[in-house]
Amino acid sequence: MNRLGRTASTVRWLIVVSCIAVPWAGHAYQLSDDVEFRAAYRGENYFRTTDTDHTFFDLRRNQFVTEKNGILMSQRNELRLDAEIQLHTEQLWPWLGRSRAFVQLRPWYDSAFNWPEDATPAKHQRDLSPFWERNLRGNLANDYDPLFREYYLDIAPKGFFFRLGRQIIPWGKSDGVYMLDIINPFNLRNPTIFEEENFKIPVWAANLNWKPTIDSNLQVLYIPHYFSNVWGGINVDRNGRSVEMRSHPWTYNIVGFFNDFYNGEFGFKVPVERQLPTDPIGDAITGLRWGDTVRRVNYTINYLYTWTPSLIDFPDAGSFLSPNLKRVFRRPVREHVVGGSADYDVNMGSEWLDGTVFRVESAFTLGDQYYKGLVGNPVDTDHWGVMAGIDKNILVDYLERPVFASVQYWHDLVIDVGKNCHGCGPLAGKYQDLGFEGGSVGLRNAYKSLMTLYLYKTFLPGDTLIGEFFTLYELQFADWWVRPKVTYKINDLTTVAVGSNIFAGGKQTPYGEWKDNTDMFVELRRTLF
Amino acid sequence: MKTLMTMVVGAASLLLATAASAADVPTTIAGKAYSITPGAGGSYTVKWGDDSVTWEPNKKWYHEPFKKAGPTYYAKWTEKGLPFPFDLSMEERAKLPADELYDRCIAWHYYGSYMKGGADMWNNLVVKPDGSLREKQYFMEHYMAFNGKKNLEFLTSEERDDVSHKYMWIAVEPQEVRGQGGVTTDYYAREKRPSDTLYLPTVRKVRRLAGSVSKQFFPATILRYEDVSHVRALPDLDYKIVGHELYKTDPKIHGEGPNDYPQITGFDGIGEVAAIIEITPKPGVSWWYGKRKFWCGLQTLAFLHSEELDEKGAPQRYVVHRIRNGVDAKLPDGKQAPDWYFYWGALWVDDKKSGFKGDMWASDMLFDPEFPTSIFSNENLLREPRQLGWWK
Repeated sequence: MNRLGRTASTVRWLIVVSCIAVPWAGHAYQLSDDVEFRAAYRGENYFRTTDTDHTFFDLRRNQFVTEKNGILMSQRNELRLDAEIQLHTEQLWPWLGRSRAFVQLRPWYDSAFNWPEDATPAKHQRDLSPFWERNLRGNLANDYDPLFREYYLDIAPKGFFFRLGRQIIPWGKSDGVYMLDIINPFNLRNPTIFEEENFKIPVWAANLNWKPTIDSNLQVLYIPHYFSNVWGGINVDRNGRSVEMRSHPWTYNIVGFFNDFYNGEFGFKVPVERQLPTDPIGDAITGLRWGDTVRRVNYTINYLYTWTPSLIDFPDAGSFLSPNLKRVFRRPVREHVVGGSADYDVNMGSEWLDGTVFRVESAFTLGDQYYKGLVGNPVDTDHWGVMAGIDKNILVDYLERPVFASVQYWHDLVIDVGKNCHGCGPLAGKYQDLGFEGGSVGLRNAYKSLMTLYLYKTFLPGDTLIGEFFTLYELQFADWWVRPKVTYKINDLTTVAVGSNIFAGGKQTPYGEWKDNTDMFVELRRTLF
Repeated sequence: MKTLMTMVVGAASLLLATAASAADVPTTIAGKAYSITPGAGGSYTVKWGDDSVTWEPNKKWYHEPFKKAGPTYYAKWTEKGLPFPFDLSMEERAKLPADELYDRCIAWHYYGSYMKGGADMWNNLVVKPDGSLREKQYFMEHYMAFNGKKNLEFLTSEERDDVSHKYMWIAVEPQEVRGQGGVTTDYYAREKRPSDTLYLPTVRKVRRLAGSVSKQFFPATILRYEDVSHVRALPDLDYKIVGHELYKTDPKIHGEGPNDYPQITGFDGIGEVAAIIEITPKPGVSWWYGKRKFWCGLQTLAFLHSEELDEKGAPQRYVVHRIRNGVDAKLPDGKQAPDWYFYWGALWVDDKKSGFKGDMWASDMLFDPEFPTSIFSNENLLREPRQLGWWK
């Protein structure tokens, strides 16, 4: 370990020990009744539990290289600083009511970059750190993991609620599957993170709500700037080179496969040119949602005129197979999302059924882009997603604290796809999925489905010990993700959690591809003030 | 002239209501003679039938009006002309069916429809068996009752015939749970269980809570939903009045001691005649207790204490209710709230099985807080408010 690494590590462990041992701090720092500051530390550590390696095409050596996978995958240290101010605008203009300003800063630093003898990510510090090491330098982090994370002004005249600024806007009633809930793009630096506030990228938005009746709400959204989903391997340097290769621990197979290709696997390099929408008027994202309750059914109807959440790679010559391929344009395309969601809890006096919650969400996504066939040229695709979920507390008669159980079924069905495939090659009727690595087993059919199961149980007085279990199974790919987690509240200020992500299935399946990333993680959260 | 007369009558009513004296005390309760006689040092002797108890102003947490009036203070809630749930004579109260009496003593005591809602801060401590503090939380509470066709503008047209009360909580501290919240909707129909939503800030979504959660722990506390917001007689339980008694307390019990939390002022029910309601799970229903005994004061219509026993009759839990009224609460215009207004007050919970204690009380009480009609909308939870008055 280098000197810096040792120092950072020592400091880190001092912080950890002091967080657990020292019972200082407590309330938020309240400057007055109307001004409050809060601070918290959040640390997460992911340790790979497999002894594996990975192969990638090295951009600089122009050859395939096999490298051992490191044990330490990430070690994120994050400080959360919140400032909240109540503005007594009601005293100036009574019709305006009370307003509120909120700012959250989240400086973070991944100290896994201080362990260079381990293979990843520190071994590829030069290529990865501009994007993934910290957010206190560089402009790019502002696009996906910003220092000023959320900042907005809440204005609430009677019957209205407006939130203006950078924010997270949730839609839908699904957990972990996203059809309507795509207003905020995702930072998939670690796709196993559960808390949406930690992986959704806040967007600048005018979030305008009108409540014409007690339970109804009309929401109008105007989002002037497009942010895309990001993940390991997506970033390019100034020359359009895919410098991340497969160095990021969570590089999807399909991303690594195309990075190998762009970096010269076939004897020529393909630079990537990012083209992002820039016009805050013409390129804006707009949305409309109506929500109400009828006969105890909470429902929403949603429409979003947006861009594909992920940037799409378009070969300049029309096909990745074309001998004239010179570069790839990485850009989003316009799409429409139309759908709705509803939930209902049974309350009819039945001992068996009462307390069962039914959830459903459905969306038509029109104008999306799927990579088709083994060649994988992007084609216009309309698809229909449905999620149906049931929630219920189980073992209520046997346990003092019962188990909350949630089962979801989700499918995605391609309903319309452009006939001209521009030479998608063999298996042109199928679509490349996230685990695609060049073989047919990484392709999906028009229909794809999965199921999830989530169990949650608390223990001890005050619910201070929490056990969670999540599993996901894809019905066509037959791959698995299993995630047990235990959280313990040491005191009001400190929480620790230990868990694991276990993956199984074929190496070209969307979850089986992470078999080598089967890991154990430790989280620490400490309120500072 | 008419205005003057109204003012005079109004002032007289106010005097009557605030200065209940021995003359106002009921002479018969539950079929037996009842009397209160002043004694030495500010004490009173209360007699009910053959039983008697001496009340003394010896608890630091008694508020001043109660210290002065002693057990005659309870008669305030027997005055004619008071609204529901105090609108019955003592004879009628003693004849109420058990489930209705239970509702009046807890649901309509906590959430009286005579006010246009209430809001407060719920201070919640979880104390370890060794007496050290395990956890503390602060929740904002917002609530309203609709019985008697009151406050209907806060309900949708669909809800107006069905919904009896609503309750919304939002966690303020600790930060770990800050912003977490939920809304309970309860119904008039006995067979309908209350329904709940839960907002989790980590996912920024409001979810319907899979129930039936009445017997489950309220998040991060040692109370159950049954103690907090599912406070009407529940369809899973049988309610039966098993007797009446002249209420006495044991100062050794947590919450009854003269020095227990002296800053949380209020009063107890010593000298009240209490109906004892026995609550048992219906046949085939599994509940967290085998039997619950619940003491309800017939004058104040206040929950006094409860004891929960397991199936074998072993003590499981003991809850003491410190009664708190309008003397330490304000109306929106800054004036003193009427002293016959109640709020939920304070609870001292002794979990006999785990040895943990739960000490909790309301503060910053606001009656009639000028809520907007959409206050109980789940959309409000998404705003993650942190301070009472956020709705203004």
